[in-house]
Amino acid sequence: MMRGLLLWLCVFPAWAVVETYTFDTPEQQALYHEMVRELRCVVCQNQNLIESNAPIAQDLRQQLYQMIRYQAATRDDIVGFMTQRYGDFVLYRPPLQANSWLLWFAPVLMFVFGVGLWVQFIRRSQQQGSAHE
Amino acid sequence: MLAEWGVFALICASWMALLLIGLAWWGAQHEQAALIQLAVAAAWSVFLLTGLAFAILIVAFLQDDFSLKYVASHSSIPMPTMFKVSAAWGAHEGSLLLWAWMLTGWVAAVAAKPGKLSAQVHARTLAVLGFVSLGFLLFILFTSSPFERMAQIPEDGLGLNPLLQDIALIMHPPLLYMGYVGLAVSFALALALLWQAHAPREAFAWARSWTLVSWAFLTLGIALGSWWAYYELGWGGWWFWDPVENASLLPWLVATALIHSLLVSEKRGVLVGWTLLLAILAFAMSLVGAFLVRSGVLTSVHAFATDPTRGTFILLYLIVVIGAALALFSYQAPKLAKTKPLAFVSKESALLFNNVLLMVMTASVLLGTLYPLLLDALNLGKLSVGPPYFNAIILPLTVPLALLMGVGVFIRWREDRVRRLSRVLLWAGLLSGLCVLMGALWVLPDVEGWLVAGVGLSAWVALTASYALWHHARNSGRLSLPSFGAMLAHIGFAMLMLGVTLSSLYGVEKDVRLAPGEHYALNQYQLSFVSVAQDAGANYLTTQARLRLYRGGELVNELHPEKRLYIGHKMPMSEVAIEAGLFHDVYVALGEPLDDQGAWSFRIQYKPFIRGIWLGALLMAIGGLIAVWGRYRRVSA
Amino acid sequence: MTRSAWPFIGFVLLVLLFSIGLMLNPREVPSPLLNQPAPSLQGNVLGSSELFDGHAYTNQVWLLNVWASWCSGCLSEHPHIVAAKQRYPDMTWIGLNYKDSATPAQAWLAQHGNPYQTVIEDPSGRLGLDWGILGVPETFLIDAQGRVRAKWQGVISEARLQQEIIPAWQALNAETER
Repeated sequence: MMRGLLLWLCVFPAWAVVETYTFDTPEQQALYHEMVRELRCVVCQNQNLIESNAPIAQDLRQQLYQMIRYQAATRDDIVGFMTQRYGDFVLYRPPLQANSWLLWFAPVLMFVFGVGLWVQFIRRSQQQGSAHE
Repeated sequence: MLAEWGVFALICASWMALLLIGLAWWGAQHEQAALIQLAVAAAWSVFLLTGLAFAILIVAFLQDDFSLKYVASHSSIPMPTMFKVSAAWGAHEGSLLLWAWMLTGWVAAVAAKPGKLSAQVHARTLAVLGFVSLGFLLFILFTSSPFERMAQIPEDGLGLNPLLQDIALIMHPPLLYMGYVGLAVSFALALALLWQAHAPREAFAWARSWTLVSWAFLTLGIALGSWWAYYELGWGGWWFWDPVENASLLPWLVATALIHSLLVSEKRGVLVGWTLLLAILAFAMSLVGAFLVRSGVLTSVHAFATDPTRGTFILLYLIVVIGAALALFSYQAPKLAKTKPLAFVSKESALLFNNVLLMVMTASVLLGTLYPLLLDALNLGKLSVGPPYFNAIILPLTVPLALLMGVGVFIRWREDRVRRLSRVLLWAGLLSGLCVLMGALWVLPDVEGWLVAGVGLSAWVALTASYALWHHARNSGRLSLPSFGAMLAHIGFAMLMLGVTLSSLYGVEKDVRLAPGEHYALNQYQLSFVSVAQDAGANYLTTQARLRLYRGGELVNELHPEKRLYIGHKMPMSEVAIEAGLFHDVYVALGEPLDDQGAWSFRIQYKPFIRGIWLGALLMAIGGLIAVWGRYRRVSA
Repeated sequence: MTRSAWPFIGFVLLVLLFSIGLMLNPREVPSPLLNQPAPSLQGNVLGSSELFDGHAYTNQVWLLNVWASWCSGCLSEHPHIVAAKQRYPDMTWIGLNYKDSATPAQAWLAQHGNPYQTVIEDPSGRLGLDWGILGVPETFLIDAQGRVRAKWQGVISEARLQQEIIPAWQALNAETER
């Protein structure tokens, strides 16, 4: 019941809303293109800003454009602006903080651990093998 | 009335599956060949009965039988026949029936082809497969029957989601499911081997062929899905690290590791426990993927209509099947451990290292996919984990993996010498460096770190594979099909890496405003916007733009990007226009009308060598199938 | 305990996570504004050029209801807000008229009743952006120190109003009086 009434629910993505924003410098353009992919459309299933046609995604794209072109916003400014309003949920690149240490460092640890296991496995096989002979 | 027969067929299939389990298990315990023969017959009857149910569902779609809830919500009268058929597996219930049918098909094939398996192992494998099938059949019957009737019969159905009315998406799920359920075969064999705590090499040889086939299907299925996303969703991406995509990548990664460790266990009789564990994990990942996609615990663009009861059922199934398997593994695996001494510089060790890398990738993708759920469950906040994370983790891991691929194809079994190896590899390394240099000098606009890595490693993998093949053919005096297949798969992977590197580093993406008669220059091309017109298709209205693509003043092609409005659906859909070439695509999506002068917005993209991604995947799959074919011929010769 | 039991243990943990996951809703995202100072609320009063400053409401508990005349959810929750205002006349409701224009908005209020102390215009959605609005309707509860204490996304049903919003408002009032 509640779901049906909420206007902000998105439909399956299918149609590209294309704005023709122009920028003063290639750096601005690059920043825009990076950020529309790294920011999540907060009301959608799992889409970034450029893929979404939800009204709020259009608003946020426009906001991004304004910030980048007219307020010389940096990446940090934009991330700060967005998280202040929508929380960390809006970032597809989770910031490195207490609740994401595991996320960022576990792959490195697993790699080290895996290599360790590899070495140990082969060493042990050599010891066992020579014990057999 | 027909639909009731469908339910009846499924009920019969379930009973036959139960019979299959009993016969096969009893036959194996008491070494009764006659019972095992009966079990084989039971396996075939399960397959035929499930197939009958699936055929009845398709007939219901063709007859527009809207008294069935499933048909009414996913089909409609004006839909083309092709899509009525494919709508049968367009949503949860029907796709599950397809899963079950394919699974029982694999079971029937296993029943028919025992190969060199001992009768006992063959029968136990069948028993496990019967159990796995029974679970699926009960899942359909109890929570997800596509044959459910409705009290009020509508005049017309709701129609299939227009995004799914597409040829690639007709093929994508069946291929993917073939791969998922095919992994059940090596899973079942692993349990049979663990049960008797003895794993002969022939068993691994047998499992390798089956795993290669399902791996090839999985590869094709994933590639097709990615290709579909590229041309259908309208923004030119081909991989989004969405949970549903990750759900298909996880079993693929484990299956890739499994193929390589099976090779070691087959040739050298080592890593036995590890290989059996991988066989369990590969199928476990298929089921975990099914759980993630169909339970609604994660948000995804592609998710099925989710339902907690389905989630609960899959979870129970996962607990019973995988839990039991891993419990058996923990109890029986120590009895298997008879490790021969391995040398650090040997093919065994290189392939084991490849497994380590692939499993670290698997674990990282799983961690990234589940992390939002983990935080939420521990009440530690809400995070999103998206492409920037996965790229940051997976790309660096592909570097050692690709390097190892080059070493792995040359290194000798048992023990090799570093000096011999480095002499062989030096040439490949120098040539790869030359490729990067030539590319940097003549072809590519600018050079940066990932480019050097991507191009260099692609060249490295492709060169080492080709050289190894040549080397092998020269030494043995003939071309062996299995190694040809393997090297083709490696070359396919190199192509995929090159496609990813070039299209992501040198792709151009522009959002532009064009009025009729205006031009836009895109690298060596010129696009000129001619006009926009309205038209109607079978079940949609369309706004179609005409653009002409010129190269050096000469007309290359006319492009027609569209925006379609399907009947009964409110949201318009983009149909992009692509001028596809082997070396680059020009990709045009139609945006919105901008003003009274007839100007429209367009998203125009230039994608260098993006075809390499799917061609590479295709080569990998073909390579896998050639290898199986070669092995089959060798066995039967 | 041998090493061969590790995969089983890992699997048990995974299953545990999945079972908890089945009870959670991944779409529920809490507002980062909770217990933070409310964003500024400066805009024109609906249909006039008079400037409204949200800081005028410090030292009292108030509710901000984001609505629009084009929003069907707003229409279905509106009678409950009007009724609540009648029952508790000292309940301060401020309206934020989101992405709307003055004429239809005023007509809408004239037709369906106006429970708001003041309605502020937000035709461009700029204020909505500062408040992290995902869509209309949404309702915020702000305490006397000017901090956001609760947020309700979507339609206010009668049950939600009686069981969540009014008790929360009363609790804040009690807190302020102490």
